[in-house]
Amino acid sequence: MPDAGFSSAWLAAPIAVPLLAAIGVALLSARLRAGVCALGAVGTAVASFVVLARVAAAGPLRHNLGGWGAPLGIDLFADGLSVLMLAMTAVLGCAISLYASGYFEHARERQSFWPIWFLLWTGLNALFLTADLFNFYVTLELIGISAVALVAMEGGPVALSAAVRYLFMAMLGSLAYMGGVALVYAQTGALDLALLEGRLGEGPLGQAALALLIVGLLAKTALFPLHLWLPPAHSSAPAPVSAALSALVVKASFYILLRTSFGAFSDNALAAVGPILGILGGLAVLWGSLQALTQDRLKLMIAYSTVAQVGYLFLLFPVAMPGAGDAAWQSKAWIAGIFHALSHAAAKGAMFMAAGAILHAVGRDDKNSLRGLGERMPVSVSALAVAGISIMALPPSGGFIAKWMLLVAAVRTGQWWWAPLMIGGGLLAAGYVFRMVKFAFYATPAHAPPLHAVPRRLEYTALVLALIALGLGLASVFPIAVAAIGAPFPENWFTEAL
Amino acid sequence: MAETRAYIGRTQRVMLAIGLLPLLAALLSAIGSVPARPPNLAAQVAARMGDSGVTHPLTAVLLNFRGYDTMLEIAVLWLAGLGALALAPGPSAQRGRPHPVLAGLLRVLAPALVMTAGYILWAGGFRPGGAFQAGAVLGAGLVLASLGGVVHLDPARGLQCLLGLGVAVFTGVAVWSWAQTGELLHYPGTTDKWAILAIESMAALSIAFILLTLFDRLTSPSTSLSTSLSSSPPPPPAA
Repeated sequence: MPDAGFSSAWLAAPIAVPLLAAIGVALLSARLRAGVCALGAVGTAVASFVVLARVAAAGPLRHNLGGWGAPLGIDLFADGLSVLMLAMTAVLGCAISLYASGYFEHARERQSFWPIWFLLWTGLNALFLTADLFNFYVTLELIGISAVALVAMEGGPVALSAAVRYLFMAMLGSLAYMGGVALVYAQTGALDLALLEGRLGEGPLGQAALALLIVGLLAKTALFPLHLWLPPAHSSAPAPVSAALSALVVKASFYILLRTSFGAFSDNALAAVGPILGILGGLAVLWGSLQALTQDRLKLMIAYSTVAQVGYLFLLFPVAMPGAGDAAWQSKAWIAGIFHALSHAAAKGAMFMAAGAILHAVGRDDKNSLRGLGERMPVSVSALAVAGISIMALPPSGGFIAKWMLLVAAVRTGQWWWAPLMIGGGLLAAGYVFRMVKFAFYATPAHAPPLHAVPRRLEYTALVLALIALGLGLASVFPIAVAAIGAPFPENWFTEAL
Repeated sequence: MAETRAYIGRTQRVMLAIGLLPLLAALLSAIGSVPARPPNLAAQVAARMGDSGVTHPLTAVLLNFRGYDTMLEIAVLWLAGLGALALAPGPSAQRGRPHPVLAGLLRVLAPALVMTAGYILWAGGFRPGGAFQAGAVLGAGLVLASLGGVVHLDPARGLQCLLGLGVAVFTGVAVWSWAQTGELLHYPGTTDKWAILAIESMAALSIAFILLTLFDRLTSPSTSLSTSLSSSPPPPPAA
């Protein structure tokens, strides 16, 4: 859409700004670090919201990098789904940056963290904005390797062994994805998502390509039963890294799966694998929740909760699958899935940040060391509890809106059997959230050691994120309207509901 | 410790492998059905070669048509170097007096390696070659120099600058072209060749130092990186 005031090249800004920040923070002197980091985080968020505002006002955008255009070159593309993911990354990215600025105590950790964190942010934004199947692979590598390096930063044997396992799983996932891309290219001679639409054949080659793509992405998203790497990696990383991994990194590979199975490969993929993804998602909800109920360490409970919440994301595949009833209700399931990704990011980010503050203050995070924290660290415990409202999907939180829309869509498309699962998952979530908070409300033990001082920004960043997760339910109209922009359905629930 | 135990036992691992064999067979048979002349973009690449600033199609694709991919890939390589430094920040393993034989060999080899790397870099414009290959040759020379005790890796700001040079120049060119033409990585006018040469030479330099960093960090006897990747005890420090 030509417009004098706005060039489609702005799509590149949310990628270029964090990349420049990574370079600046690594190459410039340490005295300038705080300024570069603040500028990088705020600049990236501003760039992301500029793109969001533009897409919300004028519809999807496309930019030809290098002026070549697909199929020869690579295109950037943004529709409602992309810009919501971008905005989610911007909000979480700013919160994580603020939290990390108070979290790391040693100069060495700060020197390692910042360039790698900005590269992770670059990779996420680049992934959400690309329109090219191979470019997805490059962004996945950027995300995967920086995530592994950030987990390993902790340095202890537990974190290192978790990081190495994470690395192997991430590499295996990338390899499978890469193999799938090669087979797609061998069959179609195209890599651009729009050009690929409907081009992949039904034969064994097309099926093999899809199988490789999907398995690779599921391994990276940690869908049950490929989730085994997630709890150790997410729970042993430094707290700001745990927040980034659970809130953002697992959503990246999910985004590719969502984008391609409802776009380029919708003819072949969904009908065959939609129900399977739904069943695996359901098992993830049950298994992850039950595991979270039995953990003794706070960070492990939260990590298993991620396994369960990732399961909910996959319930949208069978419900929104073409042929599963009326397109308007399918579009509602699609929007519900996106909304769940947003509210889970805020809630899970808040939980890991609060857990990090508690770990910092107490030195441990097993359930007994939580005793008495309700009166000794009220802000962090409130953050845990408020984020828990969204995780267990109580009104008026964002989690409630997402799961309610998904439940209604499932019933309206005649797939009522997902409803008891969703309600059961919510009850199990209530079980593990209450269990986390329960210990905090016990009386302080008589000889409890004194708490280490915690920078206030650690506790308050967690609380603000938790309030965002809660408030998303009250301010849900705008994100839902944006999610409908460019949604791949002939009819749209949202525009009809108005 | 609960988190560090093996996920699955040996018997289950063997069963899993056997169970996966039919899937592997199905995959291989599917790959066998790839057409002998698969559809590709070679014709379109050939049609636009004149606008690319180089005459070798591989370089045209990597640095111009899909230059954005390459920019992010160079960032991935930089990230590997940063990650290794983050995990193993100590001093270099290869400290001590210059090794007489290796240092002598290096005196003979170094000029040839630098010449070869420079040629490969320049040749990328018209035949197979370019930054990655040139960087690998230079990196091999640096590893040899570090083994011979001639070069000491010092994880200080100077090294950080060398590692990040490639990605910094690439990003700089991207932003400059954006300011000039309104499109990221659209090299204005006839500057294609010089933009590509600047990117490739700086990238080659960074790749060489990234390779040296990876080698040095992995062979450092006391780093957590080397002990976590190998179960064998670390080698004794050099006498």
